[in-house]
Order: sequence, then C-alpha cells, then structure tokens
Amino acid sequence: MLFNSVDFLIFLPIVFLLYWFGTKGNLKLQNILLLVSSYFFYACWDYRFLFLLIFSTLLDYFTGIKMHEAKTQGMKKFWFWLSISVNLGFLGVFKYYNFFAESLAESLQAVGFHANFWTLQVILPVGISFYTFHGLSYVIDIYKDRIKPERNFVDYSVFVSFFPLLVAGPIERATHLLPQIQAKRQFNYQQSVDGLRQILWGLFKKVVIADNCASYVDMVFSNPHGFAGSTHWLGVTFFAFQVYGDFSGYSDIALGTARLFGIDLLRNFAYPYFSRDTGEFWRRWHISLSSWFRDYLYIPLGGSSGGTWMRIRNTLIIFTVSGFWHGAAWTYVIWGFMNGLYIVPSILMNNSKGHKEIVAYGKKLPTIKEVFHIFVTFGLIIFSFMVFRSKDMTDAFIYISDSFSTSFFTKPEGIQNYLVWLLVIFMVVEWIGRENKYAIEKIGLKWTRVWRLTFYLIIVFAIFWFKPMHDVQFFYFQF
Amino acid sequence: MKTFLRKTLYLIIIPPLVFLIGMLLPPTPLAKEYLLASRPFKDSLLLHVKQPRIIFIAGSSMNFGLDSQVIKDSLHRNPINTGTHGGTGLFFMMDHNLPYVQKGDVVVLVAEYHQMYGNFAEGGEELLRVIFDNSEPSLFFKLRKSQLLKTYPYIPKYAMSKFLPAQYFKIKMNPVYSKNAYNQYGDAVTHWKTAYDKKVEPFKIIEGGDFNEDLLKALVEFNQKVLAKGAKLYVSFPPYQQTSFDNCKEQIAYIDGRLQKTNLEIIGTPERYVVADDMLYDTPYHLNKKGVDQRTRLLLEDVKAAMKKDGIK
Repeated sequence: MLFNSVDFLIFLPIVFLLYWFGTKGNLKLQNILLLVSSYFFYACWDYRFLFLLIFSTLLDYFTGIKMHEAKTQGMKKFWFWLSISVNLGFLGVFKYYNFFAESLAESLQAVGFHANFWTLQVILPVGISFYTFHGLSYVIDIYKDRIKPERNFVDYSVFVSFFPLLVAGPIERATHLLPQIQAKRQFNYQQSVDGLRQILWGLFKKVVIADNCASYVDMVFSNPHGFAGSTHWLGVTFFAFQVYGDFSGYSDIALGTARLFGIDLLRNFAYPYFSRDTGEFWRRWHISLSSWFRDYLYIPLGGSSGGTWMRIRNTLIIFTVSGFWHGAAWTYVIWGFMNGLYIVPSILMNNSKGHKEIVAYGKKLPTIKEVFHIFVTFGLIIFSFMVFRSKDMTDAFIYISDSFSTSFFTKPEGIQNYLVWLLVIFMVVEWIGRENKYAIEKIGLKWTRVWRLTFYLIIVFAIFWFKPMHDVQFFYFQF
Repeated sequence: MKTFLRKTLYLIIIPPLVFLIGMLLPPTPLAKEYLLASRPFKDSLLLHVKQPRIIFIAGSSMNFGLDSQVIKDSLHRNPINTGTHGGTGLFFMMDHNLPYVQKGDVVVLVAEYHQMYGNFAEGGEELLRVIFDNSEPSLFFKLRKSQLLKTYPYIPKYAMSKFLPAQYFKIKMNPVYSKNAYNQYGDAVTHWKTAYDKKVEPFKIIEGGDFNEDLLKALVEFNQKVLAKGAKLYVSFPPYQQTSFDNCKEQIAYIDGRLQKTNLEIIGTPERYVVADDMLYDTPYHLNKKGVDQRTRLLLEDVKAAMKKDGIK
C-alpha cells in the first residue's frame, strides 16, 4: 500500500476515525488499533514477511528484557549478541548474501579459481533495513543502560511497526518514540492541521516533483552510452530532485500521518540542497540514518576524539557502511566512500564550519559566497549520485566519462520545459519556507481563509494534474 | 475535532466536485477538432455503408496506414477504416465495433504489438475522451471492469483539461491529427502530402508488462461473435519500423506464436509488414504515403488469398 495510492486514501481516514472515535481515548485500545493497522498495512505488501517482522519484534522484546534481568555481564553480553547477530543475520541473508557470494566468486575467478556459489532467489522484505535498525538501536540502548526495556509488548510492537515509519523510516529511537506511545494522547487541532498540511506537501514532492523527474532519469541512466554529456548532467540533476522529492516527500507524509495520531516523529530532511558544504548536507539529509550511524557506529569507533587520522578513518567507515546500508551493490559502497572523502579535506584543514542554522537565516537572500558554496556542494553531491544511480560500476564509469566529454557543451536532449519550471517553483517555495520544519508550514497562515484554501487546492490540483497514470513506488523502499 | 473534520471535508469534497463539473461540461473546441472526434463519423460509416463491406479494426497503425480506395478497387467491397488511436484500447475497439458488424462482412483486425502486453489494451485517456467527448457518457459504465480500473485515474486530468484556456482560445490543431484528416473511408490522408522532419525514434522494447492473456481470450471470443453474426474475421499484423522490430523480435515472435495456437485465422506474418524508415511518418507504427502503398498492397494480397481460400467473394 503506497502512500500515494487510492488504497491509502481509504485506509488512513478509516484508521483515523476509529482511532479518535472508536477507542474513546483509551490508550490501550489506541495502541492495539495502531498495531493491528500497522500489521495490516505491512501485510498489504507481502503478508509472508509479516512473520519476519513479528519474529524480529519478539526477538528484540525478549532479549531486551533478558539483558536487563541478566545477573552477570556475560549473560547480558550473550543476549545482546544473540539479538545483534540474528537481526544482522536476517539482513545479511535477505539483503547481502547474493552480493557477497557473487563478489567472492568474481574475486576467485580473477585469480584463476572457479567458484560457483549458490545464489538465493529471495525478495527483499520491504522495510527490513529500517525496522532492523529500529530494533538494533533499542537493543544497544538497553545494553548500554541508556534505557530500560519496555515490558508492554503492544507498546513495543507499535514502536517497531508504527505504519507511517514502517517501510522507509524515519529510523526512530526508543527514547523519542516509546514515551509518546505510552503517553495519553488527545486530539490536537493544530497538530492535526499541521499533519495534514505536511502530508499535502509530501504528496506534492513525491507525485509532482519526483515522479515527473523519474521518466527522464530512467531514460538517461538506462542508456549511458546513448546521450551527450550535457544530458548526463541534466539527468543526474533531475535524479537529485527525484530522490529528494521522493524520500523527503515520503518522510513528510510519514511525519504528517503520525501527527494525525498525536505522535511526532523525528525529522528526516532539512533542506539539504541549501547546504554550504557536504558536512552540512549530511546533517540535513536522511537525518535519522546519519544520526543513527553517528551514535551507534562513529562514536563507538572513537568518534572525533582520537586525532585527525582516527577521525578520517571513522568518517570513511561510517560513510562506506552507510552506502552499503542502501543496497548490496558496489555503486552504493563507492557512493558512500566518495561522500566520506568529501569530508576529509575539512578534517585535514580542521576548518569544519559546523553550520547549524539554515543558510541566510533571517534574511531573504544568500550572499554571493553562500550561493557559490551551495552550488559547489550540490555539484559534488550530484557527482556522487552518478555512481549511486548507475546500474553498476561499468555504467557509472561510462556515465562519468561521457559527462566530462566535449558533448557537455551541446544542448541537452529531451529536455521538458514544464519540468524545469516545476523545479524552479518548487525550489522557490522550499527557499521561502526553509526556516520551517517543511516548506509550506507557515505559508498562508496569515492569509484569509479563502486564499489559504485556494493555495491548498492549487497544490491538490497540481498533484492530480501531474500524477503519472500508475502509482510509482517510493525510491527508498528498495533499501 | 468537528472543525478539523469540517475543514478537511472542504478539501476533500471540492476536488471531486470540480472534476464532476469538468466531466459534465461539453467537449472543448480543441477536443471537437482532434482526431478522436472522428468517432461519430466512423460510427456512421459502420451504420450506413452498404454491403458488401470490409471493416478494418485497429489503432493508429490502421488510421495512418491504409489506402482504402485500393482495397475497394481490388476487392469490390466497401471499405471502412475504423482506426483512430491505439490509446482507446483494443478491448474498446472490439466491443464498440461489434454491434455494427453485419452478416457477410469481412472484418480485418490488427493489434498493434503494444496492445498485447501489459494493460495497454484496456485503454487510457483517449478512451475517456472518446466516450465523454464523442459518444454517450453512459458508455463509461458499460466498460469492462479492467477498463474501468485502468481509465478512472485519468478522470481528474481529463476533467481539469476542460478548464484550460488553451482548450478554448487560439486553438492550434495539427491538421494531421485533426478530425478533418480523413477521406470518405476513414483513412487519415492529410499526412500523405506532408513530410515529417524528425527522425522516428525506435521502440527499444514493448513496455507495459506481461503478455495480456485476457486480451487473447477476448480476441477468440470476438471471433466467435463475428462468426455468429455470419461475418468473417481475419487477424493480421501492424506495419512496424525495422529497428523497432529487431529490438522487440522476441516479444513479437511470442505474440505470433500465441495467436497461431488459437483458432483465429491469421493472415500474413509480422516480418511481412516490417517497413524501412523512409516509409514511416512520425512513429514506428505510422506510415507515410510510400509506406501506406506498400502496407495496403501486402494486406490486400493476404486478405485476397484468405478470402479465396474461404470461398468469400
């Protein structure tokens, strides 16, 4: 069930009405309803994998309690590693087994040995990377005595399976989400209106921006030999907007939907394309994953405390692992590594700006220097996207080498003017709203009701007008 | 909560209301000029052309690919070219034309290869336009379930198009795609005198999905219904660009294989109707006059041979 499908348009109001009217504010019933709805939502993808989700939930639930109750450090460690290894084992089998088997076979072949490993014809269970990381953070936090285990199985299951975040995040933390699940929730008008507005903007990003960029991107990347360098750059620029519109759109819909149920999820995007350096970009892009890696990998590895070379090593490790998290392919690994390399100069020169505020905060326009920095950062990011989006490394090399050929100076092929205008309008709205949680959060709040309604209706009609005639899968579902 | 529900309801109710109004508005001047507006003309041919008749059913490959006068002169049958746009879908073409088939008619059906894969044959926006702009809107509810499921997502866009100024003012209609592009048999002829100045991009693959088994079943049923009316059905292949054919060879061979296994009477072969680039107009299925002449000649030979074999005069 896609967020941009008719099915979800029916599912959401039903659950919303049952949640606020059917449960009469009874927290227990509300959570049971959320759990049942979430399992139904997941089963609509593939009911067989529901059992995997339930098993993973049960595993972390029990190992969490066992760790807490363990009388010795050894037993605590045992339960901890049991949970970690089973969780990563599932992820390894479903997501990475074929990659390792094929890579090993190719390596052996390169040195003269012929190996024929079994490859598995398995489907990747949707959301496995996300809910596994949910579970891992919970187990690690208990092991590190940061939190106590949750004893209420329903509450814990809702934490893992809450349908807005189940298949593509944001990757939540127990410390943030569980207290909200346990707290009594009452309908909040402002929160719900805000949620609905964010859903609307998320749908716009997904349907109007991402889905309309997709066909051009597919055309260019499916045939890297067939287009001029200028078309390659345009293709990868459109891909940047596709992947941003798609994933941040999904996150907006997830956050907005959760708000309708009185729950605030972690923010996942904060206008990454207005970043002034790649470090800032990664603090604004897929924030819940970046912070997950920071807290559960970078800091345990020593973080920034061990000198320049350790910082470089740790940075490269987390970016490479982060790339690998996206998928079992060398393109993702290299993409991650490239982004790690982007950070290295600022570590070596010790001049990390650490921008906290969005660019030109409190002003209307950025300075020329800021514009320059934004464009350089964007250029670096889309350069790495050439690898990320390519089918394999061979295609990536072709794509990159053609991008820097003399055909760069020709007119891009197949350019669709309406799409360029859409992107310009989109970026203007994003710029106007960049100090808020999402771009249209405060747009129109001071207008009269009629104008505000007209503004929202324009977005609604744009969604219907530009909607492709088939539901397009969210890009990040494959991860 | 009540305020929230009320305001949400506004947002939910207004778009469908706008769509409904759009649907109920009469066809726009632009829509009235478009080639799909030739449907009533073609229906009137089906209704009024006298026996003996030969009816051609297909999408734009027939619309832009037949010289019916040659057929008439050779077969001494009155030709009716019902082809308009493949986007109306082969299901609609069969269902819509069947009631007009009379005893003694020869029907030649050509399925563009794209009709045979995925759900292309269920129709798209063009089907909506044919129904709401040029036929009875109630026809929509008589569509097959699969057609309804395929076409309803197009409703908002179709309805909203009624509010676009470009549909009403300063209308620029390409004469090749106008309802006035036809001769008395229903062949599009305006493009015979014009040249297309761009290279025709070949299809790399027939996209859309798996082979449409339901369509194959529907073809077999259509044949039975045509036979029951005392008419005769021949199924043939569309003209197709050489490069596209080479790219889609396996998919086309599969279609051929599946058709051959049915009791349909197949005339010609896919290879026979392959055309070079200099015979194309603007797509791998659309022919210029040179292509039309060759395709008509080949189709005529195949139909003639089949009729002779079946003892049809």
